[in-house]
Amino acid sequence: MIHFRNKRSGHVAKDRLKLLLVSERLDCSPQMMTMLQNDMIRAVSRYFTVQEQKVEIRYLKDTTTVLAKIPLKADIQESYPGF
Amino acid sequence: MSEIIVVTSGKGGVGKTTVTANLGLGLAKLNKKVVVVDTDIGLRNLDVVLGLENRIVYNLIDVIEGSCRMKQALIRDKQCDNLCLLPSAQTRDKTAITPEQMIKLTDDLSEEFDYILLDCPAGIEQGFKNAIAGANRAIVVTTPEVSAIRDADRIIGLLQANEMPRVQLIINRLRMDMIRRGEMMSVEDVTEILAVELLGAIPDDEAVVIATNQGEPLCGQDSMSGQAFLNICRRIAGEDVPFLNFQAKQGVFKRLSGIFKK
Repeated sequence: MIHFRNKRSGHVAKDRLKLLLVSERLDCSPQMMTMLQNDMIRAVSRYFTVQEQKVEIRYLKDTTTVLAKIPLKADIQESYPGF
Repeated sequence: MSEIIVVTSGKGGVGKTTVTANLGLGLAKLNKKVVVVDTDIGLRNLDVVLGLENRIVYNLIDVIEGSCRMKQALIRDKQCDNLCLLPSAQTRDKTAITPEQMIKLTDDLSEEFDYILLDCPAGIEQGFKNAIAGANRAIVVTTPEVSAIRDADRIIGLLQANEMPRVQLIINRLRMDMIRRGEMMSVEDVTEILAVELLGAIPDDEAVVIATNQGEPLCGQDSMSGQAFLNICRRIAGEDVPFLNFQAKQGVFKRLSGIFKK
């Protein structure tokens, strides 16, 4: 999951809140959010190599949309096969 | 039609009462007729923040139960004649009134006042439900801390579920020095997370503590927070006050902290 090292505490707070509020707004436990996130990473990893640390899930209240940002590794040299 | 604004936050201790007192005073200084209503039955505080604790004879419950007339319970502010306080009862609890009675109360008040500010108790129980019942606009107060923001998000959800026509955000106790170091969430961070309209931001300022100690809100006075409060009041009154002053505020902050470091 997201790791917080080398990050300013303001950033850490923002990241923690984003995940927490998505789970609360969707009435879905943080564990389930993590599972959802991992499932998405796993699904995408079958086709591309994903930068797991940068995956972000958001929930847009106004349009009731779940938005997942799943950045891929661009550098083939550094990439490794999926799960 | 008068505006009935509930000031709420979910979490306690973020500054609801201070914000209510200052916005009330600020709007009154803008020549509006304002009443601030303490809806925190059993834990009243708005009276001490305004420095009117010695003048209370009747309270909100007396008005609702018909033990006195509205005029008898309203207390005129020391600083500004346009501002009145309707104090809460100290010896009862939140179940003493119903949302219907609150709607009736705010309806009666709206005949006489331009702005009715309701200071909401912390929590999401009966007291909160009573406070929001009559309101047509909500101001959610939060601080840049995870606990306060989480509760603010919950409150915003509840307000939207109750079809509150307008929900706006005030971010209180910002410390520009910490934000610059990246150790505190910024106004932009909080607004992005909560996704509601920003009404204003108030810097963490010891002048607020001093003003509360003295029982004289500082809205409009020559301090950073005093100006921030007045700007918010002007926005509430419909003026288009630019948010640019955040930058200016940072500048002043920087200069001030620079002076103290010398």
